[in-house]
Amino acid sequence: MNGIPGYPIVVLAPVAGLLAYWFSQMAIARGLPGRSPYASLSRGFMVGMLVMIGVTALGLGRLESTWSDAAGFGLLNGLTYLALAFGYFNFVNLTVASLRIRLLEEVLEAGGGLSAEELAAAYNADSVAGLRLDRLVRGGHLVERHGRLVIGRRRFMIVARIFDFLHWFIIGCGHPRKHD
Amino acid sequence: MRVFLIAMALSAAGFAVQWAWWRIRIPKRQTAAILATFTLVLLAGLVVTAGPRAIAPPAWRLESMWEVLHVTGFHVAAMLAYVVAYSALEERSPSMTILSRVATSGPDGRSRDELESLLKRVSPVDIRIAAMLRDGMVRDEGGHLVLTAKGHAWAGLFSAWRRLLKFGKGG
Repeated sequence: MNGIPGYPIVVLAPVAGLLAYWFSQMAIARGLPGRSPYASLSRGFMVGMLVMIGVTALGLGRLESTWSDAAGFGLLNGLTYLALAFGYFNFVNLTVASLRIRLLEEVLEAGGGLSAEELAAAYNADSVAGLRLDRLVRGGHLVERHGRLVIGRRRFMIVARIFDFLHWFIIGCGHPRKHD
Repeated sequence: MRVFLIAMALSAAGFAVQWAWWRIRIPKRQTAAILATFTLVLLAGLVVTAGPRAIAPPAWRLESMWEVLHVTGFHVAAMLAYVVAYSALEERSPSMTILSRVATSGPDGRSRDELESLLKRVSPVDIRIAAMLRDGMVRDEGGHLVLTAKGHAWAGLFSAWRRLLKFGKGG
């Protein structure tokens, strides 16, 4: 490592963070089967973030740069890591929450072909609806009180409101939402 | 700070061009259009800011290949994250629909049965099947749905990944 200049290390830090996220998330998920998948995703994210910060600091330590440049590199790496981590999170989340992926898996397990009726039966919408509600309760977004479900943590609602605004701003009102 | 500002400017320019395009007309293949827009803006930006023919003022120039890679790395990561976020903007997820419905009911909340019925209404299998046919994941052979090569690849990838992580089936 002695001969390696600092800037390449800084540039590669977000990728190092992403790799750390990937491997630690996998290890945690496999080590704690049955736990919520989001436990491994959140812990893995923190591990990746720490690795990214550490590698960035290592690179900056070898670099002769102004405080302003160092701050800029750090910010850029932080944002790059967040973008990469967001992509990874959503990739893993497809295996958890995507109905389309679930249906594709059902067809695959049936040998690559199924009638629509068989697919609907294999999909078992009743259990999946229950699964989704259980996930929302386990995550604290819904709370069960006297046999009814009420809003728990507000962060998902806040995200929903932000997405509604972004839909209006970017796509515009009046444009129909497509179904997945 | 120079490299950071150039990276931010290029990504902001990509978003601005895409936003302006959408004001004129929303393209049919929105994901492809977003990727093309951001890529073209990046290439144009690198021509302006990097290399021997760069025309940007010195304070806005990239001075080495590593600086180009640094900016490109951020731009590509941001572009891909935006594409992912955009797909969530296009359609509200069933979970968000549920939470919005519960939120409007205030402290009285909703019953499980009501919410499960709502979930079945907003996430019916036939809508997903139509989307899979439209996107070339499956084809219809006389009422029988068969995985295409693309569908096979996606299903295999996610199935293997899910089993590697020891997750149960999702949906």
